[in-house]
Amino acid sequence: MLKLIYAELFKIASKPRSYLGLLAITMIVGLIHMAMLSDGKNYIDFLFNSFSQTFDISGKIINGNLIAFIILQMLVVQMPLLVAFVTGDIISGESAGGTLRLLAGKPFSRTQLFFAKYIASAIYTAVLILWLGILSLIVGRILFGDGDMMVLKSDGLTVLRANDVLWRYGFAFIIAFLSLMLIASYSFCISAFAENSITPIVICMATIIIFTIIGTLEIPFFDYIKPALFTTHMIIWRNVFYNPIEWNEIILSVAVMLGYIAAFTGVAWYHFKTKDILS
Amino acid sequence: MKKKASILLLFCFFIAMQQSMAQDAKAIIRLAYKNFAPISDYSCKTFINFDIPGLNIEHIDGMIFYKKPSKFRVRCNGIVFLPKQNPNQILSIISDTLSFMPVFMGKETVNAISCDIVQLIPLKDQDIVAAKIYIDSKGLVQKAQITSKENGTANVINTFDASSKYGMPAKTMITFDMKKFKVPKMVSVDINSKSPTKTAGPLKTTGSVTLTFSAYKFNQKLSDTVFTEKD
Amino acid sequence: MSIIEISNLRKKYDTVTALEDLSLSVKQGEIYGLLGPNGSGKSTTMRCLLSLVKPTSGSIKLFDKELHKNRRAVLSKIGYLIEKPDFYGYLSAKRNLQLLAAYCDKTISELRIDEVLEQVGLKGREKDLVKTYSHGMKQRLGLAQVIMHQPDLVILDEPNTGLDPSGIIDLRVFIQQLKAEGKTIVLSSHILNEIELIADRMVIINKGKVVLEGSVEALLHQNDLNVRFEMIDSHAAMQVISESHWKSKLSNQEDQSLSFIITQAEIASLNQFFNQQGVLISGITHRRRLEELYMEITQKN
Repeated sequence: MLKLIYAELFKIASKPRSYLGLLAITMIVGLIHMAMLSDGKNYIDFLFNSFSQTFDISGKIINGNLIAFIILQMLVVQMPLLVAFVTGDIISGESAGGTLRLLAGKPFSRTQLFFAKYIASAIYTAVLILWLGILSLIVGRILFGDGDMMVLKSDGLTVLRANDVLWRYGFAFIIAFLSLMLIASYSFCISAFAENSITPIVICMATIIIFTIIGTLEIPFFDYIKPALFTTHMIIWRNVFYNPIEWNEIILSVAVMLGYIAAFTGVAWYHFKTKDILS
Repeated sequence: MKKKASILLLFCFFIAMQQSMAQDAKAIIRLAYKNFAPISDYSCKTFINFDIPGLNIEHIDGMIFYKKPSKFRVRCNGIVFLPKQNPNQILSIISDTLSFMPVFMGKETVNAISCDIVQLIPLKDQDIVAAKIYIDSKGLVQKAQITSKENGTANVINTFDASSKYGMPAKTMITFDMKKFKVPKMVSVDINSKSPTKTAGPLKTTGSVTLTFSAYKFNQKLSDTVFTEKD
Repeated sequence: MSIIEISNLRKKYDTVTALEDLSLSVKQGEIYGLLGPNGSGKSTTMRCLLSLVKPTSGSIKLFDKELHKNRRAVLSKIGYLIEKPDFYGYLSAKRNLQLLAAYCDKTISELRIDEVLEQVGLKGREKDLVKTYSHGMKQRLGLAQVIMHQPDLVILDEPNTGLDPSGIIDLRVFIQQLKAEGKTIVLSSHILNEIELIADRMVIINKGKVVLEGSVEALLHQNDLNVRFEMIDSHAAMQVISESHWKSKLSNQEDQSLSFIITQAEIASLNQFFNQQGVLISGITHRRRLEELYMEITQKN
């Protein structure tokens, strides 16, 4: 099995498209860092305009912790696309390229082949999130220093003390990884059914966009639907930065996400295991 | 003629009363100022507690620096939100006898201590439109109510203890008017927020910040750079 | 000993029946040809052997073991190339083989990979990306992939497709070499000539059913030919024939021709008979019965 996982990882690592995600993250984070270095004060003044009318705000507002949070917030929509771009291609790309039939007749079970691909996808997703963490948090802290972190919500603001931030980021990245694994599982599932690699990416993105729009619309009717949408739970990582942390909400969302992951993976696995390879 | 004389007498009485009230108020202000007068600068440790609706911030330790006439700085190892009406505004207002006319407004008990109330009326156009200072018999400012054009009204309640020196409080609680905070949507991105019909009740409209002071150090000849250097 | 034993294999895709009660067996060390027109079920049969496709019913035994129960053990002894040779274009030939080696049960050394690359004539080009390869080169790489783990059974689906004449000859030599090494080879084609040149035994499949199975030698070297005598009026000739012993060998009558199942030697006798009887023959054509049969199948398709 390890041999298979290594082979699948080797394929991911050899494909130029796998680096697009890393490159995109590097560029986006780099641009945000540059912008914050050159004009961060104005941006922060704009953000905290309504607070600075009442308060004198002192302390190091622009710091690596805040920048990392802003970056994470901004990448909510982009990261799933970057994940789906690779994971959506893992089965369907081989199906379209004809290489799936080269593998499926080898002396390994379909289940082993499926999970080797799935684990490789998970590792790729972890690498993406780790890279994001390194760039946004570690490089951010090198460039902007450590400090208390301001967490913006539409109805207010939470200030977290510097010594209270790192563990929250640890949790946030784990939850964000879980969210991206949900997307990876979803695109993987579509990939198991599709015969080309564009379909899973398009379907995956369309789903995220539609669900996000429904999530943003403040219409009472949608309140009944929202808890069932996986996008509702994917942003729960932000709750780790609220004070006090509403663990119940986080646990519920994590459970829902795990449920979705299990469902998507289960459906994909069953289909892959039983499907006729005709490509 | 008799009527005219009585009106003139009433006017004179009013002027005399006004003068005497101003004289009394000035004396009260002088008493308070006498406490502060020896202070050319000071520094002290502080512990700040916040109770501000819509702003979730933990307490923090820090240092306060003041230098005459109005240099003031709170230095903390973290982010601090202080209302625009900072505690040293009282010091500045009381010291600035040319910009305000004091008027005696009566007596009131604050912190179980009887206090004289002095209203300070600005003599020129400035941000502070009114200030009501509650001063006890020792010249300690037990309470102040400062109203400014920009920031509304702030109430300052001071607490003194045995170690209090030069009229400086051991604790100050500033209560102030709140404006509704707005965070730009693009960064708050509260997607999946529920529809407005289900939001909670209205927020409190006042906030408070409590500063506890200790280890005052007076007249250390603080350098101006203390107030300008970066954290 | 049978290496492959297929019994009553049936495969249905939605409404289309690809295989219908197909049974065949392949013996150890032989080259077995699957012949049939496009869509006859050759590829489906091969995919069933590799468990790429799940049969609807029937049984497949490979190396005397049920395939679905001994998948891993059985598949580790098979090398295959189904349809066109597709590889990871973004990798070099050598990297492709190294990667595919990971999916084999046994460890394949670098030395072995170099050896098979040499064997298929790709030495010197092994570091080039596969996307720069011609079809012929990909086919060679495909063959390298087939043999790198030294399988006992080799399955090749239409391996000649797209190859130039020299490539076809090279492939034929390659397959003969494999046979010489004691491997069993199953290959498919829709061209009779290809099968008859190389196979020991063959089966003709049409619409998922076995039409004919046997040794190529026996099927091709039957004495009987289908001989067609062309004439102006077949009715007059028919009268002559009906009164002779040739009547029993008549296979078909058309307006201007009569066909007979006869041997090569009998053609001259029958022609002489017609001359003696005053029937003028304008032309004689003949086909082997196997070719005739296959032509009928392909023309119907």
